[in-house]
Amino acid sequence: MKIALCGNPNVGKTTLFNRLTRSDEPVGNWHGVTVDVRTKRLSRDAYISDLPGAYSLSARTAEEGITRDNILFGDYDVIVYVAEANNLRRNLYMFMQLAELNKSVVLAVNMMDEARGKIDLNMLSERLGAPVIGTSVKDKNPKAAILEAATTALNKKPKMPDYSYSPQVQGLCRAINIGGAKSGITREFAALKVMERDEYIAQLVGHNISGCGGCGGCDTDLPARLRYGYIDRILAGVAQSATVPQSTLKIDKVALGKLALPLFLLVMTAVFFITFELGKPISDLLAGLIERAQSAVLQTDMPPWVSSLLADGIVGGVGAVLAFLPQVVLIFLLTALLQDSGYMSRVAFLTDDFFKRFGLNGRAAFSVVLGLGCSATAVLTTRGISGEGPRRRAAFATPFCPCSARLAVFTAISAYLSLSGLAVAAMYILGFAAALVVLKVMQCLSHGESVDDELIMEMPPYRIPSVKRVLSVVWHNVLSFLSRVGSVVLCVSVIMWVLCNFSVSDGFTGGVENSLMSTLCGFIAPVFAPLGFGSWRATAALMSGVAAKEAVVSVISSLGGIDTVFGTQAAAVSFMIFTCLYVPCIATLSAIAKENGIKSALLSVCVHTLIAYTCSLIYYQSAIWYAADKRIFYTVLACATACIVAVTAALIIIRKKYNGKKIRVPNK
Amino acid sequence: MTLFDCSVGSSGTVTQIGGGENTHRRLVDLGLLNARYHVRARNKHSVLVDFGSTSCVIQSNVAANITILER
Repeated sequence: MKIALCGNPNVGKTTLFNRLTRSDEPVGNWHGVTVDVRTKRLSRDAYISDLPGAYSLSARTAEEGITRDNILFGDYDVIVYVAEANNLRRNLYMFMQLAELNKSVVLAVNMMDEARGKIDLNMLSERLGAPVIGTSVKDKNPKAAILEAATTALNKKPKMPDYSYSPQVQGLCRAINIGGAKSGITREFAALKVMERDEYIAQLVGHNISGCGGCGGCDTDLPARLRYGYIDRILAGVAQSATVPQSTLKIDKVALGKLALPLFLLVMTAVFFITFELGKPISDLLAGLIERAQSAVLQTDMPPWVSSLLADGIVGGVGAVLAFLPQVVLIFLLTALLQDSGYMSRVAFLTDDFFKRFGLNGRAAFSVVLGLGCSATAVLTTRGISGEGPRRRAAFATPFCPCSARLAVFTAISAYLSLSGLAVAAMYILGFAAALVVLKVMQCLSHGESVDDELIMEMPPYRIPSVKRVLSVVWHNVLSFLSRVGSVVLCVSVIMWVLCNFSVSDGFTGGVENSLMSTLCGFIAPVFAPLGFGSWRATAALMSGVAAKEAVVSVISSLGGIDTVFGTQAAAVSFMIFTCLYVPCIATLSAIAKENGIKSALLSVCVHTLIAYTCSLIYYQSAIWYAADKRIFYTVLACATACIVAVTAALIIIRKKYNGKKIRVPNK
Repeated sequence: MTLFDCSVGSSGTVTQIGGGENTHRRLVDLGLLNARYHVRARNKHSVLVDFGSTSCVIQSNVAANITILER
């Protein structure tokens, strides 16, 4: 039996999916967390697929299109439709479309523990003609109940809504020929969609609606009125109408009031402060343990190459990355708490005006926050942004926001140079600034095309973060981090160790000077000389970062540490800037290629490299000037600042002058 | 009067939904036609509105197409 799990966004579909299949798929108290179909085994002979959230079978975004196509053409035996207990009226709207399609459906009324008022599930089931079950995270696993209801639903389809027999619908039914359409569409459903002027379905059933210019003669709202009228009759006496919880209203008075922006900045500062300041002592402790393990391996009685491989290649390489696990856990924990509480959706509202300036909307804030964890995941979540252009731009620019793997590099270098957490914060600011510059340029190149302004974003109520859900998110992300350390970083460390300890003529050298790596990277290294890190060691570290950014720290450690690799403080900081902005890892590039195409991924490589090179060059050359002659440095800095201020002022004046006026281009 | 003209705290009923085909469809699908509203917060480009148990952030362009009757 194949089961599809679907419903409106943010009704707890993936949480239910995780409980049913004992999975750890990402969840969050916002809409659009699930962007693709995930299928898992539910029992010996049943599989369940988690579909992205959708409000109706008229798709507006790519993820809604996935759900619509899966429901219409997927070979599912039963659909488990998840509805939120407090939003039954709106949630049943899509359920009605499933009933119109004559699908076998089970209604799972979720979040029963949060229901504000009694819901009579038996009466609801009787009126809908479909099995209805109540679910809640506080109850036992509903797997058995869902399987039983799904089996019942196989032989019991929901009642065809009475409005399907109305003269208007039946009249159109006779005019529609669904013979050419793929199976899965009923005449009633097609007729109602054609009445709504749904181009996709109209095209599918070969009904021409393009000829009708929307003169206003047709009542396109009729299907919605019929459905909601029917839903109101179904819900009468079944559920009480709910309102927004008082607690949410009270918190929002502060969180979205006059103190909204200072509060947001305070929250973000607290996130970074806790991550770096609390994580550092634990990180130091781990680094000490790894060092001890390294020396213990070196003291054993093994052949030199074996002990070197174990101590430097494996323990040293992998351990150097593992030492930053506390910071990674903390940043995941804090962002998961913000997501689960519902505050992240408020951040989207607060940052909406800001993102508008760059051709996006507040929805982009979700991708940015997820990007703090993993850029590849963040790129995939941009699917929720409506409008093809803005979605592509967001997918392209998101990898500039530093991910947790880059955090390991920043922390390692700033700790070595005794720079405070401010240096790490500066790297984050630099990453975000680069993303904004890229977005602005792309917006200008796309002739000012701004985001699809038709955004309607649902705001979830505040919830006390569920310990289980938060830990699940943290565990999922930490596991992903550790699996990368255990696979990609380990492989890169061993390969790097081989390249650094062997030469073609002498075999095992036990040193790095005449190794294969020094020869290979020696060719490329001069390119980075103007940036201050023109050594083959730094080049090797950068190369390894293309596989996974965590590997950069590991390679620096196995090549003798920051002091040996960079030599000077300025070079180390320049390298940190370069690492902050250069080419994303392979996983992120493949995510960009998947979302935007291979050309965009290649362009991303070029743009990242160019921006990273320019920023590092400016920093390093300025640092050299500053060290050589402070007077010249300040003079140049003052001139450059004056030029920037003058150009900005001129642009503002020109903009004000021509604001609202169309500039006519004379004919040649 | 449209939803975007409302100040924070205003309440009333949605009487008409205009806008582009997609937006119109989505708003109608969400059951906003004839729904009661309450404006909770707003910024330059969007408004946060409660419709019964649902809260939505609506962009200025969209809100300007929703005709309301203030209570």
